[in-house]
Amino acid sequence: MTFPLEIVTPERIAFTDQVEMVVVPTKVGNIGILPRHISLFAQLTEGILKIKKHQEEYYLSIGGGFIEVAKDKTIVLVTRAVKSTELNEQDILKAKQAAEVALKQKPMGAALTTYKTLYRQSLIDLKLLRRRKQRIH
Amino acid sequence: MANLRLIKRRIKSAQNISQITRAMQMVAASKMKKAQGLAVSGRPYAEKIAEMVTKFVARIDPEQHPLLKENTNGKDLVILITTNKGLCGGLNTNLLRSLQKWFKETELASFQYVTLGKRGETYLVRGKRALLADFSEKIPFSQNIPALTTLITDGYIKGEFKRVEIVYNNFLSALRQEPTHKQLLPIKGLFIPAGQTVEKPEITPLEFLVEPDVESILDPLLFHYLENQVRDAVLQAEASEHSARMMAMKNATDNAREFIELLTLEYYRARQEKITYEISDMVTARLAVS
Repeated sequence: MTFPLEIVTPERIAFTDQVEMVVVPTKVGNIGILPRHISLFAQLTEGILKIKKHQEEYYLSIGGGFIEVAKDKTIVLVTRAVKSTELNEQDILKAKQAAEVALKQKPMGAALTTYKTLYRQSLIDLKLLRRRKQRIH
Repeated sequence: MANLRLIKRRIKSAQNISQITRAMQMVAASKMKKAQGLAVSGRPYAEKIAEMVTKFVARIDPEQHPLLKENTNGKDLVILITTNKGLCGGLNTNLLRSLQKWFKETELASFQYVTLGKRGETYLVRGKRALLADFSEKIPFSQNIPALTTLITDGYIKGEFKRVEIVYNNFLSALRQEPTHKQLLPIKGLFIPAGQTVEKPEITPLEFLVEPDVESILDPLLFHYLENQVRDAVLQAEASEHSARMMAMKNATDNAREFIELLTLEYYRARQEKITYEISDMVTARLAVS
């Protein structure tokens, strides 16, 4: 049994298909959603989103956002969503380093939040990447 | 002959103009592609979040958040998005005209304005309207979105604004842009087009889970929603600007070409006339001598 899932970011529609299960990270822990889940509205945090489709698992690294589970479909709206297959270790390490350097200079206001988010994002991406490697080998 | 030289000079200047407008057309085209991509790809997200917020807000008590309440006092805030530069055909003129028409329909009691784009700013200043803030300096305009969103939410919560509207050119296609005004606040009843009744949610509050809880989710959700709506408007306006400019420049180039063709024809005609005169001159001179 499956249900339609849509993951939308401001840049693109990252995922849209029938899935068996989706696990999303929220402030109070992970929430797993199966078909015929009760209507739900929740705030998501940065983290790893897991999709189960045809007995296979797919992972996405997501930014903060919201999820709405309705009777007919589930919509995930997040600031960013990158599939584990789209991640590149070098790029992430570079981004992480850039964020670390910028944070050392003690930026203020908007810049501080930007770099903090960038740093957290790269950490999550790395975690996801390691997990993917373990599964392959 | 002086006439010949004059025509030649006019051809030259028309050629120069067509070269400049062609270059501007190219620049606008490449900018348009980028802006259009952003505007189009951001649309599904903007629509989804609007739908999500409306559905969510319909199910909860509006007293739970100041952004959902209706302010009885305060002013009407209009956010006007125009362009900084001209040379984009009737884009700004159409927008300002639609604004004027809308003013006639509503009462001009107490409007306040925030502008993005110098064209709108000068228009309002000339009309001696209450300009609250101008964000034209920071380019691209998308940099202003967080500040602008904070301004409207803070003002609304403090009760300074009764209503917040955003006025911009909606991007329909490269050939069509439509002056649009959209109500941002209060959120209530925002997405009910005229003549349509409110769709009652089928789900009773009991069958509806909210994580972590309604109070703590409303704040980020509403702020994020407003920011996204503003962002959508800015992106649409930017895409409209570049496509309008491209079309205007294309028309200018085409006109210059047509003009050059006409002038060239005239030039040859004048040249031929001159030669004919010279020949007949020579013939009459010979006849006179012999």
